[in-house]
Amino acid sequence: MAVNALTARDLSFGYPDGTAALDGLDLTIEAGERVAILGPNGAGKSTLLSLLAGLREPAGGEVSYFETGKSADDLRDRIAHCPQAPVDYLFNATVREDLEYGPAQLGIDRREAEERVDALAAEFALEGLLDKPPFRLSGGEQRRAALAAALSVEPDLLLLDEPVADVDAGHRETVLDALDRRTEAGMTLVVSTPDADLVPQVAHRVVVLDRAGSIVRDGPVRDVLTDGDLLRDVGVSPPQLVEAFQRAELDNPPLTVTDAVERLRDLDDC
Amino acid sequence: MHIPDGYLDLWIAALVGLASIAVLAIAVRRSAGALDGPRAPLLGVTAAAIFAAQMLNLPIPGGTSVHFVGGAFAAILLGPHLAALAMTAVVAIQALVFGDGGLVVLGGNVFSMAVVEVYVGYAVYRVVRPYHKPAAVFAAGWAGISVAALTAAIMLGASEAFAYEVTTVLAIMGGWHILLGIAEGAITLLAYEFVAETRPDLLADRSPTIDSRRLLRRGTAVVGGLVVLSPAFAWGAQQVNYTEPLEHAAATTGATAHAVRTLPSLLPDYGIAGVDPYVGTLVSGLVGATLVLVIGWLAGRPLIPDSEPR
Amino acid sequence: MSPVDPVGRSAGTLTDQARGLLRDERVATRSGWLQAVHPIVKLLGIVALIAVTVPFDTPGPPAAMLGLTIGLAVLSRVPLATHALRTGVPMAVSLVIVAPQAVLLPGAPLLGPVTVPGISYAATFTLRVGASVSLLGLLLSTTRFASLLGALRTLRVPQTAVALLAITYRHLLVVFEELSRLVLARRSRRVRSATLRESWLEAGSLLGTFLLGALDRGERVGRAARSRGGTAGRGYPRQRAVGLRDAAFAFVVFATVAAGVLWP
Repeated sequence: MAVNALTARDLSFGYPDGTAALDGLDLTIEAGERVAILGPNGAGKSTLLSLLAGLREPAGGEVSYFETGKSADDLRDRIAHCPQAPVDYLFNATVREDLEYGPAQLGIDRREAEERVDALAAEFALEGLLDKPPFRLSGGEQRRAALAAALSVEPDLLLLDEPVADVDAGHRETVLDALDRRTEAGMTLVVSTPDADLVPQVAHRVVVLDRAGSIVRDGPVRDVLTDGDLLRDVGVSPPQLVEAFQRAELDNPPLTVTDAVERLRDLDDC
Repeated sequence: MHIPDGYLDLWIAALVGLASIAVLAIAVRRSAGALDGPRAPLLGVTAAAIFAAQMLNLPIPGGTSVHFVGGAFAAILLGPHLAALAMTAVVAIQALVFGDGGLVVLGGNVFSMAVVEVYVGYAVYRVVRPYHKPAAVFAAGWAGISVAALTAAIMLGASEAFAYEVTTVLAIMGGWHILLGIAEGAITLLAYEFVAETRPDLLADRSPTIDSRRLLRRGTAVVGGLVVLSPAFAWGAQQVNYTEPLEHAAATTGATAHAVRTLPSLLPDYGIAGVDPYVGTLVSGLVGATLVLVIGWLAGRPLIPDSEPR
Repeated sequence: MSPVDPVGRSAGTLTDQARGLLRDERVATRSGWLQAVHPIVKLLGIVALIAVTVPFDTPGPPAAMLGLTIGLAVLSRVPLATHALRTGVPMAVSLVIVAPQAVLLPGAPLLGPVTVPGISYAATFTLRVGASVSLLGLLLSTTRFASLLGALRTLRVPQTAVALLAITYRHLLVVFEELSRLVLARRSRRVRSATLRESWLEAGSLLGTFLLGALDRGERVGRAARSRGGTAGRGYPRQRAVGLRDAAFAFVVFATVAAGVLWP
């Protein structure tokens, strides 16, 4: 049986002004899994992700990592968290310093860090931007830089908040491919998003949060995303392909464009 | 209130710079742990925000405008040590990025605007708060900026490079800032009221995790001690200066800055030609020492019998 | 009240500051003499030059120093008009401040109540301030703040202080934009000009909103830093070869300081 990358038990959290965000949440994620946390705006997805990353103190409950019993702060070389707003994540004077920041804090050898930065810059198309201050970057560039900075510690677990918001179509593939390569190599990925269309591209399992911050559904992507009523109930639009096929009263709706094309060809052949 | 290079004597800049470093070192030590973690970013962003907020112009009758400074507000919101560090970042960035205030006199500007303003503002807030909260906030803003200006005036007045007497500078700069302080107090109060209404938890919880009482007492003692010693430094510096070739050059051209001492002033001794210039500095230093001791007393007083948790 | 009330003018001030910041960053990437000088050499050199300028009490040496800075500015392709404005405004202010001394200082009369020592003092003071401000301006407009921070780090300034400055600088433009957005949003929703009282109340809640937002943002950035290993560690120092231009600048500084100290 695989090791659990992350186990959250009875997690609850309230904001300082008194509103409750999460109440008694349980979640287990196995190493190597790709999980999407899907929910409407205000469901507490970002709060959950930062709690799971050990960046906020929960009001109750606990999170453990890799079944080690160590705190997240002791495992910063294995856990990375990339928040919703890259503008808050890139706080160094240049993009290069931002990419080097994690390795430097963790005491990684300089040569090794430089190799990583060069590789990441090539992978995320940041080569021309390394010596620029992050605030001079566009929104999409900032998000790519933030993701590259998060990956510079080569984490075993990546908690990623809305990974492709603001990223243009061309670079969207870059980001998704990079995530694929990491998960194929064994990295555990947890992504939060309000966009059901993105889910099949990044995850195999999906956890649906409602507005009150409770888990209303947890299962394989296909089972959950084809349940249009459930998604609409919590305030999430079902994937457009699913919606289209269901309105056309076709069974077994596809989740990706490739699958959809195949299904349409089959229909055409009939 | 940003003093550029060329206004202060080097030794005064150096002395006050050392005083700033001493106070800030204590502030850092007391907030150690709090600073290495998520607090440094919190301070950095807050500092940037205070900087931006300083550009907010407010109308005053007569067609001109004043701007917010924020030292006292930061002290109330963050506690004095973190506020002093945040304001230091503000003053340093203003000098190192925008050229507001000099490089060599950076320590002096930090002293008046980040150390004196914050700690005095906070002390006044603590003294008055038990009696009347809004009055405490207003007084903190007013006193912080007024005493900071007086500190700057003393540094300027004590400098021979700046030909005006300390009393003249104090009267002009202090008088003006005591008026400006009313605006600062008012805007501090308005902003405080807003925060108290929307996020009372911040004002209740954002207490320094460090023992602020002891820190403040010691910080005051250090500042007080340095200032008490300053006349001795002044005397020493004058002795050294007096033998320097620069002085002779000045004397031959008649353009000596010591000519200040012939200015009419409230202290008649200054008018007597031939009095050793260090006497003037000594007196200035004494005035400064007395002032800072009063501040120290004010700052220390509320902290001793304090039993109320902040 | 005029349509451009003080609170509204703040947005303009913010934009101007942001523009100045970006302009300096742009000039710092030009290829010029000072830009190529190692930031540590430059920082220490400029401090030494200011320190040697300040004690003079005759107008000649500060004037010479001001001349030197103009030469350096030309060789470093610093836009002269901007540099002149940056230097000239503090000089003019200083002149106004010390102008009464031209009359107050006793000595041989020059013209009416103006005395020779008086005019000499006013000139010296103004030139001293001008030279110092010009030197600082050169440092700022030819050095990217990132390199300046690197220099501070190498000079063993505590890491916490450097991190604090880096984060402050990093967020300047972000908060400038945020505040001017807030100001403009409020102005766009106002139907008539504000009275004095309204302006103040508005500014109070504006400041409160803004600073609370900044605290929230600060906490988010704090979490980001924590997730990346905290702020206690340090960055990798940037090694940079010391070359001919460094040597040339060091020589200029050394010669100037020596001349200043040996001045009769």
